[in-house]
Amino acid sequence: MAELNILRTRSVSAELEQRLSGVETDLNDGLVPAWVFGNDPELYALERERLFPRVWSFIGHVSEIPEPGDHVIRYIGEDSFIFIRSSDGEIRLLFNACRHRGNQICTVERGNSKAFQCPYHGWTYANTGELTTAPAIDDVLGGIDRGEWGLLAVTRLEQYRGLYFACLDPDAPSLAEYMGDAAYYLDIFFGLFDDLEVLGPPQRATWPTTWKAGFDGFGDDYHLITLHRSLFEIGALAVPPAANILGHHIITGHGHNITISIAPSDEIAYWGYPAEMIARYSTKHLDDFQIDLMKRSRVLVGTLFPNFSYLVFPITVDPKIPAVPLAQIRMWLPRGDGRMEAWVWNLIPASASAEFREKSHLIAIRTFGSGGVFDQDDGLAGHGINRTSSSVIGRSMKLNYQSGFAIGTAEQIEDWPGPGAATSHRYEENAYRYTFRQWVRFLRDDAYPELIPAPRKLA
Amino acid sequence: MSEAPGGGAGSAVNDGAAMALWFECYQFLVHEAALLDDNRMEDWLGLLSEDISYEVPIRQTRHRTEDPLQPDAWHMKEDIASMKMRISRLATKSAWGEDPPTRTRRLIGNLRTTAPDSTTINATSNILVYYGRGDVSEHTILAAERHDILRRSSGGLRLRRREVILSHATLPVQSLGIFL
Ligand code: FES
Ligand SMILES: [Fe+2]
Repeated sequence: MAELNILRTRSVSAELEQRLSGVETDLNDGLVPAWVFGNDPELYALERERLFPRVWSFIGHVSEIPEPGDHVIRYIGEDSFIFIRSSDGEIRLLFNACRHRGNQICTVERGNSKAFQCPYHGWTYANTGELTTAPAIDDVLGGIDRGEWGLLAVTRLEQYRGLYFACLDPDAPSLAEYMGDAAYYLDIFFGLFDDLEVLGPPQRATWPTTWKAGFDGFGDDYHLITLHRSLFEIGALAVPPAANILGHHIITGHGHNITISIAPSDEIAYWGYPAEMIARYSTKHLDDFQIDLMKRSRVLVGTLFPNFSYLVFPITVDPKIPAVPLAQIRMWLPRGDGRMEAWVWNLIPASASAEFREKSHLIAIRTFGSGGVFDQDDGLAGHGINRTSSSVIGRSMKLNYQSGFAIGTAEQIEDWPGPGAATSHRYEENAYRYTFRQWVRFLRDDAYPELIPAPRKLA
Repeated sequence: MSEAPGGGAGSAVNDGAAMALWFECYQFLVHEAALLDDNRMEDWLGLLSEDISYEVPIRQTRHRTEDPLQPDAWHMKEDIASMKMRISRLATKSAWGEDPPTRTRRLIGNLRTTAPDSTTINATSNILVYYGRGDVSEHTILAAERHDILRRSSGGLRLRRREVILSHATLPVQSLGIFL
């Protein structure tokens, strides 16, 4: 069976290596050099070779390909793959390239296929990836070892709670190890609802900024009070601005982070999911602290390094209409230097009533996503950061990530009962510093980088 | 959706009625587009009927024999409450994404109209929107076909339903902060 390999052609220039080592120094001072968000062909090429193939990239949710033959196109960095449930029932991730001249064999975003015939010369592959036939097969391919010339399959495809992730580096740890303690917090939503399914295919929209603006901004609670002020003003947000700060940032290590809004009382419990709905699910595999967090959680946002995020919270379009929870997952896909695609999947527990299902889907569409009112404002900030950090003067700026570290009132919680380092409140900025620390390690380290553990003491 | 021109109606009288219908409808669509281009959002809201349904389904790249439109997924799926929310948001001082507003210029064409009854008009049109933001010269063109249902009311024509069939699989812009 042919192996799928990462071509490593790049050595880091002395100039970039110096800048990258400077990032580590700056992070220790609570600073991030602006150029990390800027257009920078060498940096982007390095991310494509050293970051995306080596991390565990989100591929898709199990409910997207329920039937044998179902497939969707997915990307690792900018590389195209076919995520498919083969006829033998196994879920596979096949590199979307014919082994003959490399033409792309799957040209549709979604479909159901028993086989793929390459449009160029007609090499044909079963949906397991196996090379089965070709035109004039004996004359042209007589003697070929078909077992050797199937589609390249990603061997490291693993799932957690129905979320499939892939990694192209044989030296990487398992998905479970890579996720580490981030799974503990992901479980309070994805472990509770064991029957989640996607509400249709993902929305895709092009943002004029770097993919890093995605992970930096999505878990940022501080920006709600200004960038999204209009939504407080019109009464769309169920959690008032003064209360939005309450809760925690949790740094679980490996570049992952979680932000959770905790109510002082339980007036919004379980993110607004009806109690009778919650009661249908078992919490057996959750510990007391997870159950407590889940009960009091109003907003849950998590980011798995580097470009996968999820969000659960209640919202309304009109203060007279009760808020309804939405749940979604997002991917921040690089699309060239200074461009990214935001992919948005909305999720619903399969047990939800038809009425609740529709309400949750509609509120998600109207607020969060390619047509949502939040994303309109987020896009503006993303573009502004990218323009500054691509400019001659902007590139040399150091951006302030000191809140909760050198300045502000946020503090680490000494006796946090869960894993990771938790702070109170949610406007602190240590979480992103730890994400950037992990990012630098991937770019600088030739061998598989150390996954930075959660700090005992924030530094 | 489209019908051959003159299909069914051959007489000069019917052609006259068809032309009048087409003209009335085109005037409405052009007026409505001008309100949007001029950011007269409250005035535009006044052209929507209370039971408005405004939908932008997700389109995917699929084989010719398959429907590229997703029956169960949308970029936007709005009713009057959510349209009012969007427009009241634009009126706040902090709708940053649309302040300064996207510069738009809408071109409406290829209009096809039918009137199934005396109060209803089905109008299918194409729209191209010049879409520019900020002080840079780059711009985007958004393209779509629109399936509208207009209703006659005492105040004139009102938009009862609009389905926007995007020509884009991936949105070329960060989000739909404008109406198509
Ligand atoms: S490139 Fe696919 S058959 Fe030749
Ligand atoms: Fe935001």
